[in-house]
Amino acid sequence: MSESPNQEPVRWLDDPSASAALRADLGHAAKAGAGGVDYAATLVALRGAIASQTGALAPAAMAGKSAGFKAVVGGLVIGGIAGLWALRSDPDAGMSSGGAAPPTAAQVVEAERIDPATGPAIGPPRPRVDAPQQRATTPSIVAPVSPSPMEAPRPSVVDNTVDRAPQAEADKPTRRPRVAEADPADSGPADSGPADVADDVMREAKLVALARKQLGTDPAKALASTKLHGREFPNGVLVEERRAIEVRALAQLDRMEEARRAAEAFLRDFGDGPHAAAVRRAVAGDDPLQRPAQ
Amino acid sequence: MQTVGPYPPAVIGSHLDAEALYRAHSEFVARFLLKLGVSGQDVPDLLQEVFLVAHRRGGFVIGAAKPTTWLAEIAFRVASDRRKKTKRKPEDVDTEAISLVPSPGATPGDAAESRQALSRVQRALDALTTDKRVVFVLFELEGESCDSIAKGLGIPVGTVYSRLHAARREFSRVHDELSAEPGAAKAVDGRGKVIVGAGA
Repeated sequence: MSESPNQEPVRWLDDPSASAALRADLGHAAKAGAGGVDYAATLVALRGAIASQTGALAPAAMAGKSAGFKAVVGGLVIGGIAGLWALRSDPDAGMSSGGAAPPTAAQVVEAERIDPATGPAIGPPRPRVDAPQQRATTPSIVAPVSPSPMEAPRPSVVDNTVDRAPQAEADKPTRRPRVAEADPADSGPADSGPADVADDVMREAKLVALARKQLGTDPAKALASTKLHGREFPNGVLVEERRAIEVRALAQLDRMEEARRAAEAFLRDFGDGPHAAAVRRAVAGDDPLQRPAQ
Repeated sequence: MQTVGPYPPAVIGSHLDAEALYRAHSEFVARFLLKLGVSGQDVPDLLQEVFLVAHRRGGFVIGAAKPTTWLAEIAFRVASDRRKKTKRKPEDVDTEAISLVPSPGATPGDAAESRQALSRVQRALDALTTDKRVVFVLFELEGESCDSIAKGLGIPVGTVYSRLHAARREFSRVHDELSAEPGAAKAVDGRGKVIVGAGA
């Protein structure tokens, strides 16, 4: 441990001459993950923020034409609703950057919450706007063909020394529910206009948020919500989240064979995604939500 | 657009956009922000902000450095900026919901020990200046090389060495004090021997 300050030292964890207590504590810290982060909600917020910064369209690299448009409109709508909510109740909310503040992750999380007292704010099924079967890859990204519609282009070169599977789906959700009323704009027949696309994205986000909420209290209902999502949004932007919830719900219901099959399929498609660790924990019986209440 | 690492020539110059970066490294950034001392309730917003800045910078181009240390530099700046602007009341801070947690698969006993260890490490990290903390976390906890840290942060590697050296000295001193506190958890080595308090 007495190396010169002018040369690459040996990492303490790899240095037998370092204090064992120190190495033990650092070992725990090195393996620790960030628990309670809702990565999917933050991704939705990020898409909205990027869309609001770039004007009408997200960068070409974000997605293919249709999916990109959907993400942009969805982000703007979610951001708008979140912003309205923020104006109503949270004077501190909002981004520090100037101009039209993009939605923060927290705002989107809030916007997606469903109040258990008022029930799901999900509108009646509407004819779906044709979703793209697959998000297009972008020439500027080195990415394999996406295995599913939810998959964003993944870089083929990722730093494997630090790219651990993201660990925690929100096991202990932070700022819980607020009502985000669905825009009931059910006016006229569905077409593929921006309002309909945005409405679809919002309804999808609410449905997944509902399933996610039910996961902690009533896995059977959570499973039913995922089935509904699967029927209504087979190629939605939150398919990855929905399929992760489905695995966790099955595991909570002790339907382990089905859970394992669903998990295998999920990990084939999203093995390096933000929910992979939670799915692995669920089929290993280590989902925090599965633990019996004290 | 940042050019950056040790990649095959065929992929040098390939572009990673904000979403690709997010999918690959969002957990790293969230973890890193927490290790920098960011409050749990600020993590979602700052996580978003980091990748938004990455987007504003035009994404990441594979070259000399690594996306992780490049993102770490952004996270460092974003967290520092937030720290300057926010004077959060202690009662507003909710560190329970989003926080560093033991690795999955730990037994309840291991998890309890791990939480105590995490607490000691965080408290020792709190004693470091932000510049030193960034380097220490990247090197000791995230396993980045000094060269990679230098490229990512845009500083000479000699500066990384000196900051790491100073950070280690300070961290070790505080950690020893914490380990010696009454009630400090006793770390045990593989043969069951209590090892807390051993000098670094």
